[in-house]
Amino acid sequence: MLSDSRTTPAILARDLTKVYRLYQRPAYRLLDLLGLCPDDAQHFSRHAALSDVNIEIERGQKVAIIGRNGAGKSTLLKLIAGVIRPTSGSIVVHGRISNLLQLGTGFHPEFTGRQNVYASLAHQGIAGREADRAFDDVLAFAEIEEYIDQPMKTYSTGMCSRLMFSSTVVLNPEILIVDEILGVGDAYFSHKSFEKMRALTSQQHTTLLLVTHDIYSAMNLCDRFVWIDFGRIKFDGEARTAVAMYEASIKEQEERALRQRTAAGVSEKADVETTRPMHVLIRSRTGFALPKPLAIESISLVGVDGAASTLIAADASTDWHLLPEGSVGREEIVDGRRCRVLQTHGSIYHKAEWVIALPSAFTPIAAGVSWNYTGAEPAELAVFSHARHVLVRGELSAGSGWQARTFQATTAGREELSTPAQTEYGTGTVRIVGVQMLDAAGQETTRVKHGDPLTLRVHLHMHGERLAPRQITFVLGITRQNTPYAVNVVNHHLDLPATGDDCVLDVRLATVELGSGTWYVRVGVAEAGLFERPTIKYFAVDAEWHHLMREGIPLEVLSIGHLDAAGCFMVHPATFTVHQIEPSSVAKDQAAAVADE
Amino acid sequence: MAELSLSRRALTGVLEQVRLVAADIVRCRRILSTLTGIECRQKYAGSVLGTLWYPLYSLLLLGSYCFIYLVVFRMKYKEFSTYSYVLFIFSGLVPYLGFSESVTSSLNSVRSNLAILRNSVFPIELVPVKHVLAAFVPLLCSLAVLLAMIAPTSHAGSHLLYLPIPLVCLFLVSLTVAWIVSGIAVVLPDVAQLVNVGLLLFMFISPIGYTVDMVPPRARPLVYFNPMTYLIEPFRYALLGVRNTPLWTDAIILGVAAMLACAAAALFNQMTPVFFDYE
Repeated sequence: MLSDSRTTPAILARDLTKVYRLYQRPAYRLLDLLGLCPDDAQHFSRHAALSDVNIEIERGQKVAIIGRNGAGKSTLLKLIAGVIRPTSGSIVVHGRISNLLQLGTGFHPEFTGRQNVYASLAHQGIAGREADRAFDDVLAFAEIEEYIDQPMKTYSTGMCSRLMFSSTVVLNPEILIVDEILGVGDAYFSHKSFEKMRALTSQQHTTLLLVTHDIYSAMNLCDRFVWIDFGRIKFDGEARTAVAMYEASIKEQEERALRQRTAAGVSEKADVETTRPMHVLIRSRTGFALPKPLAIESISLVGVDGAASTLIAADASTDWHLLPEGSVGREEIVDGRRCRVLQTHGSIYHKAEWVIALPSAFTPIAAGVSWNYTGAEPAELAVFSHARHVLVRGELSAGSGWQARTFQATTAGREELSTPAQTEYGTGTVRIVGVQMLDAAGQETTRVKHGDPLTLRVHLHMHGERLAPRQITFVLGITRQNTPYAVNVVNHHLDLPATGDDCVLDVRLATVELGSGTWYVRVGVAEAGLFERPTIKYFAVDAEWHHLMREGIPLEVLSIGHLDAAGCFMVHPATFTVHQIEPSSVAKDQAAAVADE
Repeated sequence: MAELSLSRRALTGVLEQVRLVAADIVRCRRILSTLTGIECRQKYAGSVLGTLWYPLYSLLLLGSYCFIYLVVFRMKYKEFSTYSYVLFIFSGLVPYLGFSESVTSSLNSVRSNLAILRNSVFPIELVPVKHVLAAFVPLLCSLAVLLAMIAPTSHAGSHLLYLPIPLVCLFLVSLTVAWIVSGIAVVLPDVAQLVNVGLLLFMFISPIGYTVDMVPPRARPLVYFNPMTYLIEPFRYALLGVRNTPLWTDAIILGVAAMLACAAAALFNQMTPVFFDYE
């Protein structure tokens, strides 16, 4: 029986689907219950909150469920918790579930905290002496003794969440479902809750399902991420990949919203009946800034019958509308030609994008570009419709001087424009060109002995003296996979040289006090005072970051033998001295004591 | 033949549901009593006197009725003295108020607590039971006050020992109505309005302030067809030793009430899956 419960998954869902019927009037719901409601759009529409979801969660797994609002996360949790039933498919759950799906359910505002805890315990099947014992544990964990006999309505949201969380976890549930509740408590309690959940999963083999928008905190707790979008699982797997994909989609959403606004402006002026908007995009393929500026002289779209629409980039009067959120500079002259330049800095959207209202009959079959670029990694050209179907695609590679090329329409057809997962974050206004790790002798290294000094040499490039800020926030973070940062070194106001485009910054750690093993070093530069302001943005769309490395540089810390962190993060510098006590002096003291008596 | 087997299957279905409900009651009896206690306290939560309000409310309610009837109206009817007439009214009014309280308090009990109920070990069909039990607390308080009023009069007698019988009947009928209306209210919240008007109407057409023979002969069938008459009359008999319906009707009403409660339990359990789609 015991071995059986270890091998069977805690949660097993097969083709799980939940369709809600949205009735035009409440009365139709009753008619439908009696089987009398006609099945048409006038009476109700169907909304598939979850479609064909297959998921298997092992006992003791820590799973974060992410996705935007209305994606179906809560529906999935409610199905698992048995709060609602699936329309089709099956769900099998092994183990006692406790959930924190909504704050305040079952808590009566006029009751005292004490009475509410007893009521909540009774609902979970605990009464009598057992409840008294559980109550003591709840109180000890929640730490709100002085308010426990006050009515719940006088509690702050944070105190409510403390009490609810405590009365749920104290019963050591086999499956714990938490929906975004932990953001409510203060930093101390939220940390305590995290530790409690970590302890439950490791010691009691509790299965944890956490719905959250704070993906970075979830990374510290959960080893598996399930990303739900439009009621389907978009990604299910390792945390880092999930976060990278999720961030790309967040950026895409923001960009789409901006694009929508400009396109609306274009179609307002144009005749909606006879024209349709077409997008022309030049961007980097890494999601981060191009290594060098890219100059654009002209772009022209060619239709089937030879019709053409051409942009002379430097001309101000044109019916090609440049989207404002990209990083395109003013008109200038490069190698003797008038052009506009896609800059390496200035926006989180490293792109140049235009919208044109083309006649409906005009379908581009080719696009000609004249450009000048010397960067190592090629840029990308895409011509796509408003529905993001790519018509023409091309690669703008590096070369000497001006180049011109015509790209033919893609035969693939209905390929959708995607946003690349980012390798780096930020606007690129200040760019981390390179990071070196230097040992005591100033030699580049990837391994360091415990207790030795380590210097990080960071090469920074600032784009233009006028543009670049001369004061930044500098962040150095050292982490292990799937753990919180062990070390964060933040300088909120670091002054950079007043002139020049490049500088070298040495960050010297006097002694490395990390435990032995592989660590990852990440470096970031942001606007000065970033962490002193409250912010809730994802890195991918936070324009206050100049440059943040997504991947860390591996650093091997070697143990010096007798001193180690034994699984913990840090080894505090310590010296050990053993003093021997002379046996003769002990005997003498005893003898003296006896003589005194 | 087919029809026979169908009705037999329906009967076994009902019996199975009743067995499940009964098993749940036995299994969760401790939690049920804890939660009933919480429910009772919840009614006066936030007030200064708290649960002291139960006897106090009964005293005040019956006291104000006494004041109106004995001091203001000085009502008198045929063989009854004014005081006896008040006792007569109370012995009908108190059980009716108990019934009314049971129904109104359980009306929205399932609907407003669906989110917690689905996720607790407490079976959903015990929620109306909890509310009816809690509603019987003020009823018992009022009965205690009434008994104290009866004790010094000539109405006191061995018939008082009969009191548990009408109480059980009333409990079963209250439970039946509570299960049905609380279940329907999940799907059709409008039922609450009907129930409130219905309770008021029933109060007037039930023989609470009058005896059957006060009713004009043409309207009497209304009283005799009213099931409430058969619930109130046994109370009258137990409390005052008088009644207008024959004693054997009590046996029938007890049997019918038990059967109705079983049917309502089965119906409620049958409806439970539907609740899952309502939030």
